[in-house]
Amino acid sequence: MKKPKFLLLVTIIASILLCSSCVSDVDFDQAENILPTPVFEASLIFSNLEGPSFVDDVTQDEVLILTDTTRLEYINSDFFVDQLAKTELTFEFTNSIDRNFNIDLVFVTDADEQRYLAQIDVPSGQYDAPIEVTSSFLIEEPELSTFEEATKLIYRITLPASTNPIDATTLGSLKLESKATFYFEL
Amino acid sequence: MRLKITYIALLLSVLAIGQNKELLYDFNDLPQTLNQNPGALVSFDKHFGIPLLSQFHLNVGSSGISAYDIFKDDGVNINTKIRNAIFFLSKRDYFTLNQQLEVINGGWRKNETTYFSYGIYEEADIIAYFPKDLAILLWDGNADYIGQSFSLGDVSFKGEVLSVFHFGINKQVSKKLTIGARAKLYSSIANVNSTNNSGTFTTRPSTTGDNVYEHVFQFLDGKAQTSGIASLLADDNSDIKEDIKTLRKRVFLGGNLGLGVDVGFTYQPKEQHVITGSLLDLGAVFHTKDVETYHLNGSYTTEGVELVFPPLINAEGTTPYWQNLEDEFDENIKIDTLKGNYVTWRSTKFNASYRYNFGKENGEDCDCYAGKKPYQNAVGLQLFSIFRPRQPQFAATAFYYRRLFDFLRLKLTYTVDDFSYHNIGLGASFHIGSFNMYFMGNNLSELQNISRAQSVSLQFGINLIFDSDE
Repeated sequence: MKKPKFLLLVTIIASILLCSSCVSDVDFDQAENILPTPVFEASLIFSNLEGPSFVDDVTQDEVLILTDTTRLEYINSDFFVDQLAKTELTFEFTNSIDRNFNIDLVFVTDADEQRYLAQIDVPSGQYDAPIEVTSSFLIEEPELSTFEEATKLIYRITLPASTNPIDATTLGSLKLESKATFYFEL
Repeated sequence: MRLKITYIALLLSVLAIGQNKELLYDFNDLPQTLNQNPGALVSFDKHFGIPLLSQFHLNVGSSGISAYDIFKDDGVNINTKIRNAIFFLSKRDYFTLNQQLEVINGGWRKNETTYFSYGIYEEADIIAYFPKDLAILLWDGNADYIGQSFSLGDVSFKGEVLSVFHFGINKQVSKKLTIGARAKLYSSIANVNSTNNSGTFTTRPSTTGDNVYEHVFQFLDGKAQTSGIASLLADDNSDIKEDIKTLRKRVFLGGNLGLGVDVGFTYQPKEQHVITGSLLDLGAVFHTKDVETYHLNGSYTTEGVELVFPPLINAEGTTPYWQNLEDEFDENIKIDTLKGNYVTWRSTKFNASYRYNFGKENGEDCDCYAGKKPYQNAVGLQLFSIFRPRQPQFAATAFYYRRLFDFLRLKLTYTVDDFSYHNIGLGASFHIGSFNMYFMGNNLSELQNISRAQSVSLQFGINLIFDSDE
């Protein structure tokens, strides 16, 4: 039995040697540097307001301010707070109303405290020659952390004083399209 | 009847990577060959293995890519290498893992022509195809792919852990023909599978013109069937001992049961020509206990949140736009949890071989079985195939078998498969007195740097053989 035992020993040692010396030219520490950086584009809000939308039903006068709000739950989600590196918000306005507007896009917390404000002035357009305005807002640290406390978006349209107010017969519309580009680091 | 050999198998496989057991197949000197072909030529009268130690076996394979491709120390950013790999791989590439642990293995000869064998083994088998579209979406995001669809159809995987109780009969029908069959009773410990998924996710410029983009979830239809998993996950107590107790019960026929069969033959038209074939794990498992199926289906398109400025003009926008969007999504894209029974087919394996024996030794120190002097050499070809969800996998092997000095049997193989075109393997079985040891490894050309290999196999086993003649 001596010979077989010897053979066995040799084989075991050989296999241990083979296995311990068989990984070379590799650096598994690189795993620490793995960083997926996906970029997602998502639709945000949109709306299309015809001229008469800016007229008070009761008084038939032009309104001063028009506002609407939606929750955007995901901004404050753990995933966004932890993984979002930066974001770019793009708002595209098409105005075919002969009237200029001051736009506020206000990101607020549940308690309606402002966390981020995007302001855009939209000049007056013509019914047959609409004016297009595109504005982008890049939000990076340190602003980003504040932005991520927001849970709601308020779209506020202010109509500055004008000699040519909108009435029930005004033609045209104010259209908003928007998207967000999210840069993640996972 | 002389009792020639008693096997006490003490097989310690260090590492075995590679689904195909091309070195073990048709290696009639070892009793493990019977698990590869129940109709193999049996050269011994009795064998049994030490419980839990008779065989441990592990296979890992990856078509298309190796660890070296990702982790080589070449100064290139690892994220670049991963991204390159994602684009290099196709949805037909896959990762596999197959592991077996023999609990009991034994057998005895009933008479000159009949040999019975039995055993219990545990097996884990996993195959996951590369979900290319999903990988691109998660790695890159959708920003650079506006207008392109990502398919859920790329998701396909299957995994099971089960124990197998088997009993086989090997019968020499005539001098030329030996046939065999093995009945198998499966006890599934855990199972998960998700195949035949479909549907797409697309971000494209809005077709209505209302917003910049529309996000389209189209005809999503995905299903993941599980058994034996829900109860483990839902476990309220975090006591892992309870889970182990549950699992142990399932190992011994307490799981979802199934039936299967192995069949095989050896045909020897002339003494020097040997043809063999086998079909393994032709069977199914019937999942009725602890079953949970998750079904995702539906279509939905969204352009985002439309603010309509309700006619009642006040400072408080009260329309629950976000809630409405979520509700609409949930109404259209449903994820249901079903409890229905299901059946899974085992991954059936097919083996075939042709062997040509030549060069008899004239010496008299012959420990040969069945009173025949064995041939010293053999050459041949083997084919292997395993049926998988997307398509069968194939391997072809050419081999040379050599007996040296009676105590040493060698088998050299060259295998072509999905993993490589230059896979050379070597198996050696030593038979000295009552002592038997075998050593098998494939992909030897890659052993210098194992990380380059997409699959590697090293097998090592010890048998103690008592021969009444000596």
